[in-house]
Amino acid sequence: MVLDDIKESLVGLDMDKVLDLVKRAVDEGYRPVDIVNSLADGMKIIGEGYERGELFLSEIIMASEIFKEAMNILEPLVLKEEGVLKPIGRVVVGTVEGDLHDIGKNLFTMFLKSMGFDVIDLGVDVSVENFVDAVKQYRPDIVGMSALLTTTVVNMEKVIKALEEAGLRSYVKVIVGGAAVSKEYAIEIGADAGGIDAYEGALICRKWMEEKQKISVK
Amino acid sequence: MYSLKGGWGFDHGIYRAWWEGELERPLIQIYVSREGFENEVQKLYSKWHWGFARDPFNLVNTIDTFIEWCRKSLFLIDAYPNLWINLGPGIVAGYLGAKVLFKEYGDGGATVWFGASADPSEARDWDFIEDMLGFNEDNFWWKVTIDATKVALVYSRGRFIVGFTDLGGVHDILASLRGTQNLVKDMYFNSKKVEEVSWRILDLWHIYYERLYSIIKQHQYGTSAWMGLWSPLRWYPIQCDFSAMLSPKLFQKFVLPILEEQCRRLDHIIYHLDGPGELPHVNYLLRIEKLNGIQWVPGAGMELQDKDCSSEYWIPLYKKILDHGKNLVIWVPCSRVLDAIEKIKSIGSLGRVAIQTSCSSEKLAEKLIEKLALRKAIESET
Repeated sequence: MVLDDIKESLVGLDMDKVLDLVKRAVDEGYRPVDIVNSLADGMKIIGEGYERGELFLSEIIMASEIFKEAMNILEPLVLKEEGVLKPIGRVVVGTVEGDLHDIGKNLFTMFLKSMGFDVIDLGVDVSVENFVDAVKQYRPDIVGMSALLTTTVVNMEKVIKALEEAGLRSYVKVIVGGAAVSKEYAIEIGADAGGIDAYEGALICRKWMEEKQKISVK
Repeated sequence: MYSLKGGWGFDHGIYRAWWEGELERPLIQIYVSREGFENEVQKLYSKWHWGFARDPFNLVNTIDTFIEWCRKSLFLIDAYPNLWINLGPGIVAGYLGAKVLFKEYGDGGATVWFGASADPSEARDWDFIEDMLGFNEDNFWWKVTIDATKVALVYSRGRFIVGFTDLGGVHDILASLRGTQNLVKDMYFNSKKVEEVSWRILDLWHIYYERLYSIIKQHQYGTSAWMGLWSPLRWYPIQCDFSAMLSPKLFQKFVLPILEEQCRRLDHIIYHLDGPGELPHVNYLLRIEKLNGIQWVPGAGMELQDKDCSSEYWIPLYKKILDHGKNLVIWVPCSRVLDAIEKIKSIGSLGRVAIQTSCSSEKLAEKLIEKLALRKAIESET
């Protein structure tokens, strides 16, 4: 019951209520992982509402803020109980060189985190070299690139080419997004997916991780 | 009464009638390079367009480049040379002390970023922002704006129009100071502060506007701005790009009252509706009685899907705007101007529409004008 209330309060964007309920659930002995899952269910409803055009960016930002605050309570408890907080995968994200827009990237990051990804956010105006270095350093499963300007989208292709030249492309999936990126353009430049909104993008990343797990189990 | 020869003059009466909704044809602006100067004009445009921001210490150089660009360009039908003082979208943030970052791209494009939009670490807390809220006569960017406006007006000698700098939208300015996501969160957690500071920025915005207007009116009849429309009165294209983030509920609570007040304080006002993210708010905008019209910009994402301003896709939006007695401003590719006119003709009064375009060659522009005259979208040359 309390887990359902947590989910619904998150959807209702009531931060105080969510945090109270999370503390209550902990006190009542619910497993921290189950509480995290109820929050993730709430974020899923928010994401779907956004995809249908019923919810707006402001609501996603608020929901993510509530999620983040709740996770501040839950993360140490999950670590204590499970020993390790194992992410479902790792994503390196950044807005490409020349572009300082960060809203799309941040939304994508929020959804990824709510789905259990470890996200390395390189920020905005990220050079080709920095993307490549980050892939070498963090060994992510996925690279996510964002660009809003028609003048900067070309830098996505440069990053993909540089990953190929460095022999890293086959180790990572690449997803691209932003107002000036269509699905066709994403394919044309050699990305694995793109031209979709932040929530759909995060869903695709999760699907990739599920497929990867199936392959490794086999 | 309009220019087919590509001169720099234009008919004030056409614009007056357009603002009043009394024009009997669409207002049409065609920009084209003179034959043989196509490449040069492109380069000159990029040079002057960002000149003031690129080199604020050499204002005359930018004005000279603009004049050179004008000489090698044609301004057809209702188009006119419009030297607006481009210091980036929302320079008021710079006047208030936010960091101003000019960024150039390899292809001649550029833009200016302000405060937290350039660097998240530039996001300020409310106490800091409140300390920033004052009219600072000595601010570097304000002095550049004043100097550029004055020098441009002197150089113009009535030959071209000098437009206002892009002051920016009140909430866009605030987002530059506070950070976009912080501002959204504050709308939930600190709503009184957001409202209070927004009104203070609005007051400052109008101080800047009136100061610039007092300079412009000494040298020039009427006003212009980045949108490239002339008005005999105090006009400005208002905006709130930040509203693309907002639910209609937040828009109504925080943004709409500010826009309504801006409309009360100015004489002629067009709202710059920038992209599908702002469409949920259009019904509220249309209810602002004093708002003269809306400029629709579908954005790069839509244009990639072939949904530029001439697309059938936007006709219901245009109908809604025109049905509310508002004017409509759109930029249409040269090859689609006739198509756009035909579509809009079937849903409302063309006299309330301003169509802006640039053609790739003089010949294409001439052909377009011939066809426009044949369809009586403009008067024939005789």
